[in-house]
Amino acid sequence: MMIDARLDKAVIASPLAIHGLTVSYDHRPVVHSVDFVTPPGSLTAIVGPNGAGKSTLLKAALGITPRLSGDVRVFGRPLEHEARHLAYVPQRSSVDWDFPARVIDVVTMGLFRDLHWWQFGTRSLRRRAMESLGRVGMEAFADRQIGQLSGGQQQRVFLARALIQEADLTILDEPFAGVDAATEAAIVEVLKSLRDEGRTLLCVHHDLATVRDYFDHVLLLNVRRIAAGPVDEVFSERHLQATYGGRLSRVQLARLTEPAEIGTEAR
Amino acid sequence: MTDFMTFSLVPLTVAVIISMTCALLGNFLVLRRQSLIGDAISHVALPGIVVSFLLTGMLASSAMMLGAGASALVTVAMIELIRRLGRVEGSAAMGVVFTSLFAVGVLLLEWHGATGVHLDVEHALYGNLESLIWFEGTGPAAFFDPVALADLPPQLGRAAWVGLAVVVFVVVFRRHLILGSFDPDFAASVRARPALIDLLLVTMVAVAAIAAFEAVGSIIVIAMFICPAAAARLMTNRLAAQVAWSQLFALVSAVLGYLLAGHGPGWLGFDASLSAAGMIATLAGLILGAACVAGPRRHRIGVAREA
Repeated sequence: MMIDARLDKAVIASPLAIHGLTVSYDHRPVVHSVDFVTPPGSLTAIVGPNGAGKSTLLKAALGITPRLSGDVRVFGRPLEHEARHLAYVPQRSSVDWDFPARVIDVVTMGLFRDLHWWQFGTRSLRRRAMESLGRVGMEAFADRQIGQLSGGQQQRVFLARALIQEADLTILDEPFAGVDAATEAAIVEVLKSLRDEGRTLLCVHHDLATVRDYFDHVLLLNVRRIAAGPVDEVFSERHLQATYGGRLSRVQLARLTEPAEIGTEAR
Repeated sequence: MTDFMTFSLVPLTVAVIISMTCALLGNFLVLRRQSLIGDAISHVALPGIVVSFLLTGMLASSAMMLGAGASALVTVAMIELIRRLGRVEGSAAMGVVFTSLFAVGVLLLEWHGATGVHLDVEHALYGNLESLIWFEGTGPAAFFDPVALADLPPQLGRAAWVGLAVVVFVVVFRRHLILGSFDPDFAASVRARPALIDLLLVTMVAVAAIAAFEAVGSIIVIAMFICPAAAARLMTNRLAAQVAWSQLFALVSAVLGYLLAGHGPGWLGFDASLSAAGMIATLAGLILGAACVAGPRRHRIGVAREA
């Protein structure tokens, strides 16, 4: 009884609590019975090998991909009523950047829920979009055609579109894929500043070497949940071997899990 | 002037309305790389119309519209089924479905010998724009004469209603359409219902294709779903401007195509006229060709992908 009550409290406080989430394609489970309560105010990485179901887990949690079973709650209430608390940054490569739109058009797409069909662009709309672009250092590009942007700039525009939603939880799918080191640093800064404002971030991440620097919590996933919790406790050799099926070399692991490396980017 | 009102005003207006309506929807089909769906649906209208004729034994336009509409839905379902079960690409599935269903329609038509009535393959392809004669339209006074107005060919009213419905749909759902075309996953995450909007768009395409089919035939419909929007995309990188260009191209194709078909051969000294629908579609294709050669945005962006 005690445990149940405590869990409930954690679920109610969490912007995204997943219970028993299963997704399958062609009768094959891609995500199998995953439980995860996102700690509020955390910057959490989802880590796992290719095909581990990381993106699928997020899409199912957002209601984009149908789930076979499982329960998704936002602050303790069913996702269907509370989806406005969540913002989503899809993989940059999932859209056609030749689409006839300007940077500012993409950012204002984030205001979809706030706009009725009879409303057209207003000055306050543009001001909000410019503020979001300012946070990612892209104001100068507002009227640029999106196809003219570099990969890193595209990613920052996507981040600006999420910022304008002012969501409690922002879910990002590989925000560092194909961006240069400077952009990666800039995006990490924005994510950390959001966390410091009390917002929660959940981020699919591939580079094991930066997990300790960027994130405070981690979910290790390989179809099933392998482990989850604070990076210091969970990001261990044993758990990583279990996640990657023993395919990481001893040297790699030693470098990743060396406690001496913590602290260069202390939170 | 009287001749123009009696013989040309209605066909010209119908051609303009249908061209602009199809071109408006075409913008979103082109952006979604789904242009072929318009092609598919307008072909499949033929078997639908034939079956409804065989069932009801008459050529009432309401029954025909219903039959064509039902077959459009069957098409969409079959495409989806073949795509999933056969694991083939969407456009391949469309190609298979619409060619075979159109072929079935042709066979049904021949087998039944329904050619005695006003229903044949030629009619299905080129329509019969020139037959939309307004007998009572004998002068400007006819615009205010209820008797004369009642004599207007019914295709005009139907085209106008469908055109209006499409404009309302696009205006009301413009953000849904844009979001669903650009980023369907994000659209689903903000509950813009991209799958439902997809279905609505295809339904509007079917409605427009069928209304157009009856009056102008499928050649013009297919051309107008693709050519003006594709040409417009080469003129600009702004969506609003693209829609405006597509409407202009559709208008120019319809008006110029109709006039050229009726009078072009005469100017060249031949005592004949050409199919208006054929000429309109040809002009739409020529405009697309011109845009490919000279459109200011024909070179897609070539800057470095990495900063």
